[in-house]
Amino acid sequence: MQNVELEHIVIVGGGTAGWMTAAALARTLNTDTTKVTLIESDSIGSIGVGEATIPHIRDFNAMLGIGEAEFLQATKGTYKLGIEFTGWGKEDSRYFHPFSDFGLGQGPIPFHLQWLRGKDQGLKLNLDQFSICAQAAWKERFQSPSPNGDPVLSEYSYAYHLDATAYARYLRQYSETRGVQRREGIIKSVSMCSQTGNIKAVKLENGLDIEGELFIDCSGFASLLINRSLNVGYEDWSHWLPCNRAVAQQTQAQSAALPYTKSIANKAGWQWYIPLQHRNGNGVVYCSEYMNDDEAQALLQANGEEPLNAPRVIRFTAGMRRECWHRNCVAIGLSSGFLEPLESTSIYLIQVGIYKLLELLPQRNSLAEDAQVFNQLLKDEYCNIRDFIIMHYKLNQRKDSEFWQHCQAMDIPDSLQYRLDIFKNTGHLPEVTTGLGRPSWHAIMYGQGFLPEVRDLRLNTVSPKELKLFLEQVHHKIDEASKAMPSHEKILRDLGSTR
Amino acid sequence: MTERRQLIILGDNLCTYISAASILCSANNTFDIHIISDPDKDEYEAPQLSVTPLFRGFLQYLDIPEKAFMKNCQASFHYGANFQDWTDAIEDFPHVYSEYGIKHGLLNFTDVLLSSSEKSPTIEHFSLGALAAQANRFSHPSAEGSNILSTLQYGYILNTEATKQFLKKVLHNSGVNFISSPVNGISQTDSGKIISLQLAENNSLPCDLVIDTTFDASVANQINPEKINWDNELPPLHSCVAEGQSSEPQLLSYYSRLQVGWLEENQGIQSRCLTAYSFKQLGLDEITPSASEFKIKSNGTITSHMRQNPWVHNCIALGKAAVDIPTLNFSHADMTWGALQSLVTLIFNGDRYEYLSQEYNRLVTLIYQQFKDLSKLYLNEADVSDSEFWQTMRTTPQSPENEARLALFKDRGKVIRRENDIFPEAFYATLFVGFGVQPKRLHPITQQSDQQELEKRNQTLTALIDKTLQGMPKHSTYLQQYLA
Repeated sequence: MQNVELEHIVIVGGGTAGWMTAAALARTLNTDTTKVTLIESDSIGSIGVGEATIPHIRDFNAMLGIGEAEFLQATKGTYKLGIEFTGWGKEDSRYFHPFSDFGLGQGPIPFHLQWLRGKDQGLKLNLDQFSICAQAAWKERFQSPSPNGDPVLSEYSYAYHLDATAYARYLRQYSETRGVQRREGIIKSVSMCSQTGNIKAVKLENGLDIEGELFIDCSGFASLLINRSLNVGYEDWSHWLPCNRAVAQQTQAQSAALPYTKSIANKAGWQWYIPLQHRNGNGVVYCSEYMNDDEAQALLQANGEEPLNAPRVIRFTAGMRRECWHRNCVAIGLSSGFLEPLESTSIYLIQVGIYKLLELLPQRNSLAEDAQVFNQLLKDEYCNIRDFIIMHYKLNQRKDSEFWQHCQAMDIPDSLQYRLDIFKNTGHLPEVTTGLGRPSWHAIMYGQGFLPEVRDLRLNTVSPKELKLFLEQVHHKIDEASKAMPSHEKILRDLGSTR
Repeated sequence: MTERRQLIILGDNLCTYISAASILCSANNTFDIHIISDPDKDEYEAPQLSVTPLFRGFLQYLDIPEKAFMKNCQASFHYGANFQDWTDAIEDFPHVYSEYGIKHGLLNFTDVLLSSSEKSPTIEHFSLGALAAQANRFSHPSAEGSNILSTLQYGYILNTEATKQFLKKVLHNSGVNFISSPVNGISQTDSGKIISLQLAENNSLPCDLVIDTTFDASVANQINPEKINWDNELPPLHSCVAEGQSSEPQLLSYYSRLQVGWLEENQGIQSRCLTAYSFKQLGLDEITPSASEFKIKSNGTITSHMRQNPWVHNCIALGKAAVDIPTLNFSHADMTWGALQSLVTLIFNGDRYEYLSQEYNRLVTLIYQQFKDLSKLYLNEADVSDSEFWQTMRTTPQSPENEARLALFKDRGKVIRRENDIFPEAFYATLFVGFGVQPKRLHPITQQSDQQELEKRNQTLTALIDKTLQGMPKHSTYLQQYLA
């Protein structure tokens, strides 16, 4: 059995992706044997992806051995129970995408189908009202799930809002104390091995040559290695995801931090609102064909909060790299692809890239042997999230703008079309085993008024009175449990937050 | 309230009754269920059947207490399979459903084991389930994660006839209608949907949905005869079933390599069942040296295939009507239950059969292919080429999924979990390690781990397993007490 360990891994780019990768490598590798160097420049700003997250980030923290209190203090973070979507169905609609399933427990008839039949029979309660996360979030309350098996209080999850710059800084410290070497500098050129076509070294503007065996491209949209040096093409998904710009700005917090993200649809895109301990993150994502930069900035500034910095326009094309691992280079983060932050999946996709890389970590003599497996696994993840995000646009019911009408009429990927067809015609949603699961899909479909056209036959034998009673009891339990939770503000104050 | 729908289930085998019980359990009085069995058809099944832990989901689904089920079905416990002489180098390899070893950070146990010194014990010594199975000792798994007993996973060895009779009784008591009659014809709409079945004496039975579980798939073949043949991967085989008296129920199914095929042995509470698989029909004396203790009960053939689109219009093929393969370390009951889990999530969702069937067919194709792939892996990994039979088994092609799984393991000792996998990664990894597949290299982290510490952890684990094993009762004693 041969074992030829890597001697040097070079990460190009700091920011969230770079430092998450560095931290994970530092945690799992012996950095005395395998040197890990991260190159970044203070003069290059980072996009600061994903100030909002999904629950998987907690697994990443657990892998690194980071405690929650320390993490929240370091990142000025808050808790997140889901996302409130306003104006995504009809113009005046509002729904919640919670990090929990709807109803209580799992019986033979899925809860969402029982609720649907209840609606047919005049039930006034929305599906959100059967979600502990939605109910707690709208009451601005939070508590960690209970480990005692309680059907209401143990069956949900949560994530965080965080300051991406503070997160990168925190992970930098974590990584450097575990042996990662940081090199300050701007990449001037990349030298390639003429025989293998692999990257041999990167040359910095200060003249330093850094050689390595495996290069991780975390250089963001610039994609310095995977694209500029290795010419790996990009799969453009903008025909399915037409938004191509964002303008972002930080504002002064004026009230208690909410335990959820807000996503508010506008005439040509949507606006995010992410509450942190010390400030709020705001942004408008839009399609430049239907909204110009000035209009977007005006929308951003209409929220009345005091700006803390100048608005910054970011241009992007939705899609992903044709190969995220090519030769001896692995792209992680924005260099691997971009999906708008509608569902806070950017950090999750970084995490997936890191996990798969760790699983398939190569050796010196086989640097790209498992690249194909890695690329397929990452593509599956990207495509599932891509479909999930496209669905939000496709299922809108707005009549107020050309943009939304375009989205209603646009073609969608076959994989998404199949899922929608099966749900509409059977009430059953084909399982998603990566990224966000069935409850998330149900939240968006029902929230935007996309309902199955058939009903579960078994509900024909349940009397309307019996069903109404059952649904009201479930709602009552969830409502009471959410009322009994402490306020999110108190939980944060106990952590030392001074908003 | 709306009119109840008419569901007809055709057949008289274990799959027939497993299907009827599963649907009845969640039907909420939606269906009138009729089971039609043809008195002239002999649907012979092996008298003892081993099922995997997956099948325990069937009991939970039906909400049948395990004790009642086991008593009525004359069932004993089952930990997995022992492969005897499957390779030249390894005499016995117990491949059980229980866990092997413990995870070490990012490293899977197989990484740790493969990186450890040559003096390290063989893989079964790191699994309480494997050693307990060899010693025929049993305990239920502990619910406490830190207890070594929590690593145990088990299925059952069922008495097929007793299980059938038990389920029939449950169904009968729940008002299911049993009809003994041949099906002489079907009436269909222009689009192909079955409206009614013609039975004996010019009786006709209207139907909304038909499930065909018969071995000859008599109705399903009329609706959709198309099959996906797998005989390039698993060549046609003769099977011969013999039955004898049980001496003691065993926790393992035994798969012994014969020069011309293999022999499966399941020993339950009452009987001991041998099934031989070969290219030719075998006599009893070719199967066992104790021929006088057994009687041949059945001779048959297996042409490995699955029905292309098991659900067409309102007709669903299940059991052998849907799929037939040689089963290694699982059974047809496991495949049926696997398919039924998909069926019961769909069958009540309205009557747009073109969509329901599309999704069902997608799901069960994935399930059946994985079972077929598992059988093929066991046969392919038999590292012997001393006969035409085994040369063929090793040289016939594998599915692309198996090829990829094997290639990755051979390359770096790794199994990657894929969407819709039925079996966990560790199950495949231990299969490969058990059969002596040696990866070219291991995960780099294994090389960076403190080898002494890993060895020490392994020694602690094997010592704990040995100690726990001594405290476990004999399987027969446990059964007596548990089922008393």
